[in-house]
Amino acid sequence: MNMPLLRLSQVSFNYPDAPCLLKELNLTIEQGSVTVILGESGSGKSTLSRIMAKVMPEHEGQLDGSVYVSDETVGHMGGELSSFVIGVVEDELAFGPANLGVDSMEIERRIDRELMRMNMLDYRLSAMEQLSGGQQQQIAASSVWTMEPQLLIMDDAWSHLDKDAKLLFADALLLWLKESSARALVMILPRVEQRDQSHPLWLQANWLELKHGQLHPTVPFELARSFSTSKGSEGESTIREDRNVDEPWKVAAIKLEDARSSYPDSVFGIQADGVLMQGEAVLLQGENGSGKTTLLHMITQSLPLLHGTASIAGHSLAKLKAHVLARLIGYVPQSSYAMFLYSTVQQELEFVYDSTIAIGQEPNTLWCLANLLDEYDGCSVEKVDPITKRTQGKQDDLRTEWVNNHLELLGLTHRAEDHPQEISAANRRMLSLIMATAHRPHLLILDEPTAGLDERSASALIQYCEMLRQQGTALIVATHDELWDRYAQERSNWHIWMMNNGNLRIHNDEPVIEN
Amino acid sequence: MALLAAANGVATSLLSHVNKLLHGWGGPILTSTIVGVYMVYGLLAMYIIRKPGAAAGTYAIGALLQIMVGTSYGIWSAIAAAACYAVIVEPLFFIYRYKRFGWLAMLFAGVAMVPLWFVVAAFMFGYIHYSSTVLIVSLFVRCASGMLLCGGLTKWIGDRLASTRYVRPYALGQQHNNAA
Amino acid sequence: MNGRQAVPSIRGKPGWLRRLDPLTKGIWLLCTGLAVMLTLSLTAQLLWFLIVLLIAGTGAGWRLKQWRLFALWALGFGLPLLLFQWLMLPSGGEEPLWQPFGSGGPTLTASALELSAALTLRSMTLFASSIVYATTTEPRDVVVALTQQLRMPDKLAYAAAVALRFVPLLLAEAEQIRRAERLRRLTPVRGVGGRLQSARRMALAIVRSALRHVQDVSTAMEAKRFGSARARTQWRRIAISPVGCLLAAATIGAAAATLVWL
Ligand SMILES: Nc1ncnc2c1ncn2[C@@H]1O[C@H](COP(=O)(O)OP(=O)(O)OP(=O)(O)O)[C@@H](O)[C@H]1O
Ligand SMILES: Nc1ncnc2c1ncn2[C@@H]1O[C@H](COP(=O)(O)OP(=O)(O)OP(=O)(O)O)[C@@H](O)[C@H]1O
Ligand SMILES: [Mg+2]
Ligand SMILES: [Mg+2]
Repeated sequence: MNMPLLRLSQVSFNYPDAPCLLKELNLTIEQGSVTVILGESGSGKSTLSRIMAKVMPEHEGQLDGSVYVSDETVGHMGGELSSFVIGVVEDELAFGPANLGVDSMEIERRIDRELMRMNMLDYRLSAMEQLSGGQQQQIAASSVWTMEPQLLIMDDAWSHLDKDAKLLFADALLLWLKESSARALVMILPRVEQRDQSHPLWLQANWLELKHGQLHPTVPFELARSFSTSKGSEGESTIREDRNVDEPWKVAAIKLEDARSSYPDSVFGIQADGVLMQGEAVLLQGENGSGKTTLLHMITQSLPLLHGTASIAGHSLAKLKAHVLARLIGYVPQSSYAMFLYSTVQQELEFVYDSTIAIGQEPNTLWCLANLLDEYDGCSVEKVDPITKRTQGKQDDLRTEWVNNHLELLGLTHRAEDHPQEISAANRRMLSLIMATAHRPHLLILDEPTAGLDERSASALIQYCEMLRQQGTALIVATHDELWDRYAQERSNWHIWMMNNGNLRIHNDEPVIEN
Repeated sequence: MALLAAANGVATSLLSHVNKLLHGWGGPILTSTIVGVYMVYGLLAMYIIRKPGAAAGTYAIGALLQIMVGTSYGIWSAIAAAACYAVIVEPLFFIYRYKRFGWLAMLFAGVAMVPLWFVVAAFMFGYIHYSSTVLIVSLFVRCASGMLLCGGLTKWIGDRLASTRYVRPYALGQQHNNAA
Repeated sequence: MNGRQAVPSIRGKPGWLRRLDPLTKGIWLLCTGLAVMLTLSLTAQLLWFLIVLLIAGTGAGWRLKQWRLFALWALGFGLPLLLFQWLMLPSGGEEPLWQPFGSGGPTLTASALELSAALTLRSMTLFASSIVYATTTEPRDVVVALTQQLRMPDKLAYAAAVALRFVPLLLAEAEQIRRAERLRRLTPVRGVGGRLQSARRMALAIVRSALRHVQDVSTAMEAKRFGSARARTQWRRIAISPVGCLLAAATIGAAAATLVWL
């Protein structure tokens, strides 16, 4: 029998003022094993991983039970995109092994090896802020890997990687495991994509699901299948219905003609051509670092348009005032924390309401969201009356009502006073989406909206987007997630734009092949 | 601690340019108005951590940071200012036994930190050549600024932070939790 | 225009100052500061200022834009300061050079002008040298120099390193928050009140996100076993360059000379 590297027995945990998150949980990790822990968003995966790696500060919450971790090194990669220490790629990779007192030549060798593996040799001296989302995640994973731990705990390690990078990563993990029988791997994932299922890494894995604070053995890929079968047929029917509804909106929501932009102090630049009509959606794809986020930065005026023309709903981007642009578009950035301005969820929602009212609009009301979150039923949006004259007091009531309704929809009523950063990833993403769409933008721009979300929340989010599209909103979604792919394949109004090394060429001007 | 210093580093660098302009246009008196803001970070660290060395360490890092980011007053003033502040604050709170953090104590600390650095600065930047009325007025302005912008602001920010989870590991957070 | 081979480096184009180690450069900085602080002679101040400019011109590798910015700043505060001090400094009862408001008004004398010019130049030198140092030195090099050559404890040096890391991070984040605020506000800011309110909102958001980052970074450091019992490897070494020694020695010499003769 192999030695256990880690053993949790009867572990319970709760954050202050919150219900018990982990309940008398047991887990043993042995040498040479691969363990995959699946779990819905907010089920406590990250919490569990931090407890396993013994990096849960005491003041964070109440921990009971016994945690045994062997003296061998444990590597832990947390889900956050921003947990870097020094901020330069090579230092980041060297930091872990240097702390362990590894010989400098050896450190050098490991850095080279990792950079080679990720095909990022050129980025050795780059600052972390100047890397794309996927590249940051790669570095975060490798900076743990260079420590050559015996037990590797990866929480949400590849949600931002493109599919090739993901496969390479899985290959590398497999190789690493085979090198020594004393090593063990724990992967914590919200879900496994269908196209990855055949990978040999999964064959030897021990599958667990974290649910209601406990770990249960689970059958992998069950969720993934259920989605494709149940959704497929229903999707078809929606198309038929929508066809005629789509006709009225034939204005270009966005039009790019040889539009170019680049970061100051950097040679990386993008060049894009493309037209997107109202009521159409596009998936912006391309490998990590190909310039997707950069393009979105340009559209949101974070980067200047240096050449060519771009217009949004008929307005020239170059001449558009910031607040006019803000009314036309809704934007959810790749790192969702970049969107929050207040310290509580409630204040965020109140601000959204106020600023929408300030431009004379009735905030979007999303009754169907509740259904989406509960089951996958599509539904119609309740049409809200245009603003009628109201007294001030009434207005306040409406505001409270709107905010409370949305809190309820998100299931956050009892957490209204929490920091938006502390709620679970799925709720955070939904909240961002609500914030970005309350003013009914013409163009909705999402950057990796479903990365790190479990299947249910991801499909709810996708459905919600589809609903907005049916109402005439144009959508740009930068993503690597296959869920979107599958969704788009079934629908005629969804297109794919491929970003290739900073160049956007329209992959397929016609609608994607219909099944 | 490091964070406070960092936040300060940025703020100070920006401020120091504003200050530079004020200095250019109004000499020592105008500069003195915002001097309090410079001192907030160390005092705030002391307010949060409440242990010997908290302020000194923060000021030291802050000075290092200013050197790295570039300060318009030159390296010596960054070092000297940090040293002057630390030399006053640390003993002061030692006398208080790291227990007294009420409004009065904080306002007093704000004022107390001013004079030493003022004297040193006067020599450094040649204020000493100005007439004594100018000097006295600016000392007075500085003390007021130290009291309100440093002592008062620190207390205000500190109390705002007390309930957040970021200060839970420190004395301020623990005290807050105990009280609640 | 194409991606992969085009990699952003940490800072602009190289100059010889950039290649120097932070320690000898630090000595240069300290000595320059000390020298101008201890002398009042106009010639000495002028000389030092020119030397700093010369060094910056040859070694800092600034772009035109940076030079323009620098010049703007230097003039923007230097000229008013010169005038102000000229007005304010005591005249010492000598013959006024110029009395702008007639005999009753303030007087401008030659000696005050000289003193004022010297003080202004001192400020400018301090400013310029500090900017030169900051723009040509990598923070991470300073950390290495601190731990290796000055034997500072790791903990302290890394606290500084983390603090340094926050500077670009905070700036980047502030920028992000500014953009988010702009996109979410939907209306243009109006009047002083609106501007203040939006500034307050952003300031608080920045502080909060910074606090969150600290938490993240300290968790990351802990997860990577920072401060574990074994001795840390110094995997990067920074050699003290001969040019650096030369520069440091020359500056020390020059500073001493200034103090003795001027
Ligand atoms: N520091 C904290 N303080 C209070 N509550 C927290 C904190 N961190 C997380 N939580 C809450 O604990 C629950 C579980 O969080 P955790 O991050 O472990 O979930 P998760 O399974 O990793 O989900 P996801 O990664 O999808 O967000 C969530 O409801 C979250 O809001
Ligand atoms: N702030 C920045 N300054 C300079 N260069 C940057 C900056 N941000 C990103 N880059 C560079 O621009 C390129 C494209 O980055 P971008 O974020 O657009 O990629 P992406 O397509 O969104 O990738 P991902 O799928 O990983 O998010 C990368 O090579 C990156 O190194
Ligand atoms: Mg998580
Ligand atoms: Mg991206």
